[in-house]
Amino acid sequence: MTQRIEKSIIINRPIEEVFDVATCLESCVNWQTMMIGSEKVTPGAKGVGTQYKHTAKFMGIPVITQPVITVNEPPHRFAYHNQSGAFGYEVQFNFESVADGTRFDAVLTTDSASNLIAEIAIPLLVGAASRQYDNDLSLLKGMMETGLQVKKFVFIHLPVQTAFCPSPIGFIMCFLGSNLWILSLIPWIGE
Amino acid sequence: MAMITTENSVIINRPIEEVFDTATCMESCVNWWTMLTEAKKVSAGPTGVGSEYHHTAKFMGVEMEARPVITVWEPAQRFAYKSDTATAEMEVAYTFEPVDGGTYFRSVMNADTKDNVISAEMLPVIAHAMARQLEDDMNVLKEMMNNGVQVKIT
Repeated sequence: MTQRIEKSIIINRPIEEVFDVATCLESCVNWQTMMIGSEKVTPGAKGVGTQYKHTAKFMGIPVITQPVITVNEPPHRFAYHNQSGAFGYEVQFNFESVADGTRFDAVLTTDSASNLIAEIAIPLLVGAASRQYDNDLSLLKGMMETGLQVKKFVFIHLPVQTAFCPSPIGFIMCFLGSNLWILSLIPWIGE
Repeated sequence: MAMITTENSVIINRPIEEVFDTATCMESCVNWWTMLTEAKKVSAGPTGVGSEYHHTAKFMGVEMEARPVITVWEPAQRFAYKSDTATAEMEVAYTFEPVDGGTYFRSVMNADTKDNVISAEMLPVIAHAMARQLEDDMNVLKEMMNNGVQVKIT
């Protein structure tokens, strides 16, 4: 059984920036609400063949997938697929410059033909996931248009800290929490 | 402080006692609140006014903790809890009413954001995102219950 979800949104930011943020399969943990963990598992620069590990929770069920990039043509086309876990899926992103910024089209296709349990549950899941993806795209739009940092591992994370950290100590803790990679510079500084 | 209020409602095609029992379980909510990653009861004894929970949530990439406490417990009609988090003081009230075809479930959330925590630019974005998310989560609960999916942690 194949299910298809199509979504589109206009984000009032330049196409290069929208492509850069939306196609980062690590930063998606910041705008895809059901995602609880994301990491790049292959070394080297991002490109076709780069693999990730995503951990999501939906309807109380943790789901681990291993998406692999299949198309990477900045700043217009991007795609990835997953062939691990309970069901496979393919995601295609298209980006186009428009008068108001960038039109971002997303198409998600799932195929559960080989999995009976997934076939039974998929219509229920797809309906809920489709609404969730609407919410997440709107969230990405809101975050980017208000200048909130979406991409991970960026030194200045000020908007997030001012948004969520209640005190100077909390501010520092949030800063450290979101920028622990800085510690990896210590051996380099010592050289 | 700035107040964020969201109201959402849904009709679930199940008896009022079952909807109340499922929707007010502050541990099982991890199964239908998408942003919630962990939920456990931290006070002893049966569920009632004063029962306390520990919730961990992730929203916009930020992990947050809360300790909601039940403030109203009137099965199967009314339920409420309050929660003091790093970003806001929240009060959430549920009401349940039998209607033709099931149960009318209404949720009202008032979040009073703390000074200098959420910037003025971000407030509308967060409020809008939370309202959409709550509406969607209630529909997840509806679809799970209408389709016989186990929601309550037993």
